[in-house]
Amino acid sequence: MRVTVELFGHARLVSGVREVEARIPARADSSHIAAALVSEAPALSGVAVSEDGRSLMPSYTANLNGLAFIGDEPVSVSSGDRIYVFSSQAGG
Amino acid sequence: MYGYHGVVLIVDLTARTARREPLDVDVLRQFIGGTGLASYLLYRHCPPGADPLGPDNPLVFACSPLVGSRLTTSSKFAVAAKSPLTGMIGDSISSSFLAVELKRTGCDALLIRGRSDEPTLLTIEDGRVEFLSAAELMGLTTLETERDVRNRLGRRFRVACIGPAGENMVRFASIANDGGRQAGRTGTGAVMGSKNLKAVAVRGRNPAAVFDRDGLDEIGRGLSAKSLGPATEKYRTTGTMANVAVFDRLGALPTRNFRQSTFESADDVSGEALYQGHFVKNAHCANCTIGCEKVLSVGAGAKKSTGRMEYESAFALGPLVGVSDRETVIRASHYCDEMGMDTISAGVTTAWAMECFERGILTLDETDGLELRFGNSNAILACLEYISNKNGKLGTLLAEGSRIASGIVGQKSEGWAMHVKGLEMPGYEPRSLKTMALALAVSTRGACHNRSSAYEADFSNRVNRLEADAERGKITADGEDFSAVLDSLIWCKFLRKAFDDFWGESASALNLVTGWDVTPRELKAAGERINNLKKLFNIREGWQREDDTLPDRVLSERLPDGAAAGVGLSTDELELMIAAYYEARGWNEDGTIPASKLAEMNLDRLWTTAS
Repeated sequence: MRVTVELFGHARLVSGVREVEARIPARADSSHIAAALVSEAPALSGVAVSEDGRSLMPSYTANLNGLAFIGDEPVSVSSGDRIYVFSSQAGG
Repeated sequence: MYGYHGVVLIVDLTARTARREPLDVDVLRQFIGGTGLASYLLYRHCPPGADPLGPDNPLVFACSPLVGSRLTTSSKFAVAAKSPLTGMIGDSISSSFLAVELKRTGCDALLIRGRSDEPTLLTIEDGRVEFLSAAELMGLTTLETERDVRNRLGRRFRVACIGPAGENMVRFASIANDGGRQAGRTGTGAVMGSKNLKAVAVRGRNPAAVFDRDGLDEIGRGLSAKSLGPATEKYRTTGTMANVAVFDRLGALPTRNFRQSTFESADDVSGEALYQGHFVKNAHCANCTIGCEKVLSVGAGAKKSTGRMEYESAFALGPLVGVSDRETVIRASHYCDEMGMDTISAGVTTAWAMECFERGILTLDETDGLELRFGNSNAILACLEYISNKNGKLGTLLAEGSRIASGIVGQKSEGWAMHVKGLEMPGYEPRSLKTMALALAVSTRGACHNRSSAYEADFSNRVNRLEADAERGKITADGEDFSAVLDSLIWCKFLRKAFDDFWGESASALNLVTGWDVTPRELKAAGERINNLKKLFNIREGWQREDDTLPDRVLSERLPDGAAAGVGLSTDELELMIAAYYEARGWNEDGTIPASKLAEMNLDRLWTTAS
């Protein structure tokens, strides 16, 4: 599925991009997001994505269309969906 | 005694006296320090029914056992008083050198009562207390006041002070220290102003002894290392202002007085945009490795404005009032800091007034000629000036806060006064963050996001943030007890994810400082006790069951747009969660505390003594 992954905070500043286009499976978990990110924005390796490219760093979380959080359990994804990758520290 | 001095310094501004009163080790062990100790002292020393702006309302500054320990983020203090906004318990936390220096004067807490006949600068240097004239400081901003006092007394002094807002007893005035840090919420600055107390300056040479310095330093090194890891990345990099755009996407960004939960110009005032356009440097509190404060600058020359920015200020002075202009957001936030006002309450009260103006309920005559419309940047800045100086009809009205102001104006404007118990709501849209909704409704200090951190559950898969259920009750209660211990030890909230075992590590740190044998279970019980004590204070001061609620707008209007479009929160849903919360707390169905619970918490003697 073709999705748009929007980055926030430090991830956006480090990668230099606000969002990237990515292809992920129709049933995707956070590892798919991580793999897509490191492919489209290599600067995020070691920042938002683990250095082995298999997972998001603990300091990051992914959210589908502003609704479901994407973790280890796969969620259904459709073309045109938006995935938000932002800090897992919600405090403010 | 280790970790403490075992002393509260009690200052009477009316009689111009000071005395040191012992603090029993049992009290310290049960209430720890910070907000716990401050709440205990407030409960003991505030006469029931005291006027929050009268001389009998004590103003308490409380340190904690970790202050002076050199542990990262531990240089904090709590301020407490009966809140002029809510008439219930008011407490807030601030940071940095003042905490360390106050404790070095030889006390664990400073309690100020009475009222001075003339503007006063209270100085405390080790054991010596003096009452100096503050006549020449009146009208100065918080930064000017701090600078002048330290020039006068010496740079080793640390200063807590109020700005013009506190002098004018704006009900949401704050207390500032150490270059712009704020004990922001609940109006303790107004209490200080009501006492004719412009500033408190402290200097000490008497640190509290530490029981096991080597052991403490060892865990301190480990904690410092963890504080620089992924658990704190957001705070070390873009800071909390990064929440603006994220909350917008999630439909959780209160916009135009909570009429909406997304802001079409969120990206213009996002944390990323603020950082990229205006970032100057990070700032650290004393003994803090994280450096969460983002110093931003706007303008040049005589029009340059430099100061700190946090999410709550960005939301309250940006999307909430419809402002999409970064310069205005920055200037407005800095202005509030300089004048000594809570940015949240200032923004929310202004937003209420804007809606009144747009509905034709407030006229140009009543707004002193200001076109007080959402998005009018000039009007925002002018409005804040009116409020802080309590000028004109508008300033006089809004300085009372949204609850009193809406009561005065009437015409059903109470329906869009966004407060709980009188404390204005922070930047978390409760309809799309249902755990936060409960926490806002039941918090003892009013609409508060910091005394529960309930939003953490909402920003995870642990709950469905858009639906209410009974599980939220225990989540909120547990979050409150956790936060109470954080705020009493005191650890910075931004450190909380750096612990592998918060309760175990906190108990260890406390024992290394004090030589006690506190267990994690005992610490948890202390957190529960502190929250029960705060509730007890509120009950004594007139809390009613209907005070645990949310504004009409939240309970009657559905969100119109964004990811949470169509989502609302019904009264039945809120009542379900509140009932579950009371049950989780072991309270009666009406929210009062049964005698058995008071006894379990060792609070029964306090209640009996005070009744």
